[in-house]
Amino acid sequence: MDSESLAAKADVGKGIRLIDIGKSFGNTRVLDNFSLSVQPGELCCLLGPSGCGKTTALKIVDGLTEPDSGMVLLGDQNITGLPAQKRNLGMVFQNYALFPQMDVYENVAYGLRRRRVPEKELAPRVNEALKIVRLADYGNRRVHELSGGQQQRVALARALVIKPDALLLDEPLSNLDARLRTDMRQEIKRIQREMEITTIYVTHDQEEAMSIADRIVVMNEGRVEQTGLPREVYEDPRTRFVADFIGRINFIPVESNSRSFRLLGRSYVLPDELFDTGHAEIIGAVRPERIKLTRDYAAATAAIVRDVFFIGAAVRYRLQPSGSSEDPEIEVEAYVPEEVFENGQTVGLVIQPEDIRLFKK
Amino acid sequence: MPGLFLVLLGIFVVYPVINVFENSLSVDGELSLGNYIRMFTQPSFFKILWQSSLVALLVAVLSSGMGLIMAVVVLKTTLPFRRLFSFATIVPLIVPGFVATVAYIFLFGRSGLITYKLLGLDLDIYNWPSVVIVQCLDFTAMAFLLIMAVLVTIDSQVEDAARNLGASEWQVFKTVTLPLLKPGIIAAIILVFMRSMAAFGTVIFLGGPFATLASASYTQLIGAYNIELAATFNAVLLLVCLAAFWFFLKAQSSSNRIRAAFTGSSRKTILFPRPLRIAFWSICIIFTTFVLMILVSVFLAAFTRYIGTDYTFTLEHMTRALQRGSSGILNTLYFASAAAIAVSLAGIILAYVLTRTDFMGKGLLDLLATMPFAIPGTFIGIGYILAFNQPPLLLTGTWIIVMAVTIIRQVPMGLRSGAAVLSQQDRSVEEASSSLGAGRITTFIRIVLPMAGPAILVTALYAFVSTVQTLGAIIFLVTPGTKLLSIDVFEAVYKGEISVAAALSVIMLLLSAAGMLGIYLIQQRGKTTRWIQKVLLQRPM
Repeated sequence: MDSESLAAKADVGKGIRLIDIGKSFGNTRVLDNFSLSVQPGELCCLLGPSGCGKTTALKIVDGLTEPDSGMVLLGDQNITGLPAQKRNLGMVFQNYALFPQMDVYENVAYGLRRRRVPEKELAPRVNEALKIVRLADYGNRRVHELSGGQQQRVALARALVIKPDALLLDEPLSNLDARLRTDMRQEIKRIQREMEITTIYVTHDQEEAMSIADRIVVMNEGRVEQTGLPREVYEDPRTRFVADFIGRINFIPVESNSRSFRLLGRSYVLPDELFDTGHAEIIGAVRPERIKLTRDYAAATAAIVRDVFFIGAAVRYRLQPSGSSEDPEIEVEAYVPEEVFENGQTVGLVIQPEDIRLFKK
Repeated sequence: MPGLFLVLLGIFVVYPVINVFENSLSVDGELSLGNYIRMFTQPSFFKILWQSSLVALLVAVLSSGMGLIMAVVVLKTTLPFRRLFSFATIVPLIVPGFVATVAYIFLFGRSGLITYKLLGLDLDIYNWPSVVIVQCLDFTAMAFLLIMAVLVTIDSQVEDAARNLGASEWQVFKTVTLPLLKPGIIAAIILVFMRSMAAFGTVIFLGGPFATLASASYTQLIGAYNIELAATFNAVLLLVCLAAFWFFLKAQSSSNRIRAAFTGSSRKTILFPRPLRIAFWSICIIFTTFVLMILVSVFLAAFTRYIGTDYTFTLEHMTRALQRGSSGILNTLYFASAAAIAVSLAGIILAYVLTRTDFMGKGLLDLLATMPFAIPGTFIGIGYILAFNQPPLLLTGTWIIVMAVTIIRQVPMGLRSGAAVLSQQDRSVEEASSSLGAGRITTFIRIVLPMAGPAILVTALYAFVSTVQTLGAIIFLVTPGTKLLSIDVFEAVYKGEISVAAALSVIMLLLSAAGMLGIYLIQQRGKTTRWIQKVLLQRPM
C-alpha cells in the first residue's frame, strides 16, 4: 500500500476527550456541558443541523477556539489552552483553506517547513503524502487550477503530512457535487483505515455520517443527543430529535393508558419501561420502510393512496388513513414490492409492534 | 450609442493628447525633437525628471507602508482607537492636498503653531521633504483603502489553516496574510507613484526650489509663456504615468487569479509580537494626530483673527470669503452637480454597452474610456488649451471646456463603478425582461437602471466631491467667469491671504463632507460597500 510507511511512522493511538466543555458567543450558548470521547484510531462523526455547535467543538479540539470552561485531553495530555500552533493536529477546512499564492507542493510542505524539517527529508514526505491522496504529479500545479475534489485531496495531504496525532475534518465534502462526494467519502475512509488515525469528522449530512463513521455523535443545540454505532442511531433513536434528523420517519399521534396505546386505530401493549406513564404525552414513530401495504385493507388500517413516487430502488407512497381525521398523512417506502398500488386506491397498513418507537412529545 | 461615445472620447481625449505631443515635438512651429533634447540634456530640466521620480517613489513606498500598517491594525488587531484610525483615513478624502498644504504651513511654517510657537524653531519648510510629508498624508489614505479592499477578502480560515499547521502568529502574517496582500500593496505603490508624479498643488505651495514635471509645466506656461516646453514636460509625465499604469494593469490581471474563495467566515485577529504591536500602533497614532491637527488648524485659521498671533474668534474671513467666493461657490455647485449627473449616467450606460453588447471597436472604446485615469491633470489642462483654441472647436474661455474636462476625467470612475454594479446584477433578470418582449433600451431603463439606483447615486456623489476638489486640470482653463472654489483657494494662497484661503477651504470641506456623508448614508442602507472602495480609487489625479 502507498501509505504504509507513513502510516507506520504516524503517531497512532491517541484518543481525544472533551470534558464538560462550555462555550458562548455573546449571548448564544453554543456548547453546554459538552463531553466527547474518541477512541484511538476511531473515526467519530459529529452529526447535527447547522448551528448545533459541531464545528465549534471541532475548533476547540484544534485550539482555534478557546472554550469558556471544560477540558480538552489528547491522549493523557491536557491540551486546554495550548495554542493551535502547538497541538499537532491535522485539520481539513470546509472550503479547504488552501494557500492560494502557493502551488500544491508548497501547500503540503507548509506544515513541515514550520516544523523545520530539513529539505532532504521534506521532499520525500511531501511526495509521499501527495501519492497517498493520488495527486503524485500535481506538485507544481497552482491551487486555482485544480478541481474541487483535487483541492480537497491537497487539503487532506497537507493535514496528513505533518503526522498529526489526530485528523479533524470540518464538513470536508460539502462543497463537492453528489457523485464526487461519495467517491471522496470512500477515499477518506480508506486513508483513515490504512493510517489508523484518530479522526473527528463533522458533518450535517446524515447519510455521509452513516456510511463513514465508526461511531456517530448526534448533536443538537450544543448538547449530545445520542452516541452510537450508525445502525444503532438509525434503528434505535433515543430522542424524537434523533429519529427526525436521521432518515425519514412518520410521527403518528397515539392514545395511551397505563398498559397499552392505540395507533392508527389498533391497540398495542406499552413497553415495560413505559408502564403506568399513561398520562404522559407520547408520540409514536415508524420508519417508512417498516410499514407494509396490503390489498386486504379490512384486516389492517385502511388508507387511501394520495401519491405514488417511483424513486428507483423503492416506491414511495403518501397515504391518508381513513379512520380518524386527526391522523397525519403516512409515508411508506416499499422496497422490492410485490405489487404497486395506484393513486386513489384503498390499501391496508400493517405495522409490527417492534417497529414502533415511542417518544415524549 | 457606441459610435457617439467613440466620437466624444475622440474629441475630448484623443485630440487633446495628440495636440500636446504635436506641440512637444515642435520648436517655434517647426517639427523638432529640440524640446526633448533640452529636457534630457539641460541639467536643470533633467533634474526635475529624476527628482520628481525619486520623490514619487519615496512617497509611494512610505504611503503604502503606512497604509498597510493602518489597514492591518484596523482589521487584524484589537488595539484601541481603531475606529478613530479609520476615520482619520477618510479625512484626506475630504481635504484636498493643497488645502492640507495650507494647514501644514500654519502648523510648521515660519510662524507655525508647532515649530515656532511651541518649539521656538525657525524652519524653512519649503523643500521636498515637506512635499513628501504632506503627500504621504494624502496618499496613505488611498493606500489604506486599496489594501483594505484586499484585506477584507482574505478568508481567515486560511490563516487558521496556517496556525493549525504550526505557524506562529508572526509566521501566519508573514507567510500567508502578507503574500495575499501583495496585489493590494503593489497596486497602492503604483497608483500612489502616479499620483505623486502628477501632483501639482502641494509642490507649487511647498516645494520651494523643488519642482515636479507637473509644477514645472505650470511655471513654464504661466511664467515663461513657453507652451511647447510645458507640453514636453507633460508629455514626459504622461509617458511615465502610462508606463506605471501598464504595470498596474498587468499586476491586477495576474493577481485576480490567486484570490482565495471567500466564505465570509468571521474575521480573526493576528496577535503580533508586543514590540511590533507598539510600533504599528504608534504609526497609526502619529498619522491620526497629524490628520486631525491639519483638520483643526484649517478651521482655526478660518475663524480666528490671525492664526499664530491672534486667536480671537471672528467671522470676518468667512464673510470676505463668502463675498469674494460667491461666484466660485455657485459655479462649483453647478459644475459639480452637472458633472455628478453626467458622470454617473455616462458611466452606467458605457458599462452596459461594454459588458452587455458586442460591436466593432469595443476594445477601442474601453481603452479610450479608461485612458483619462492615467492622464495627469496638468496634461489634460494643457491639452485642452491647445486643442480648443481655434474654430471649429473654439472653446477656451467658455464654461463648456471646464465642464468637459471635469467630466472626461471622471469617465473612468463612472465606467468602473457602473461595471462593478452590473457585474453584481443577475443577468438572468435582464434576459427575462427581453424574453418577455422588452427591447434593449426598455430593459436598460426599466430593469438595469432601477436595480443600480443607489449605486448610481453613490457614483454621482463621488463625482460631486471629486469635482469640488479638482485643481490641476482646470487651473489653465478657468476664466474669471468660470472660476471654481478650488481656484479661489489656490489664488488666495498664492497672494498670501492665508486666513481667507482657510475660510474658503472650510466651505470646500463642507461641500465635500456633505457629499461623503451622503455616500455614507447610502452605504449604511444598502449593500454597496463591497465595490465602493474600488470606485473611490478611480478618482482622477
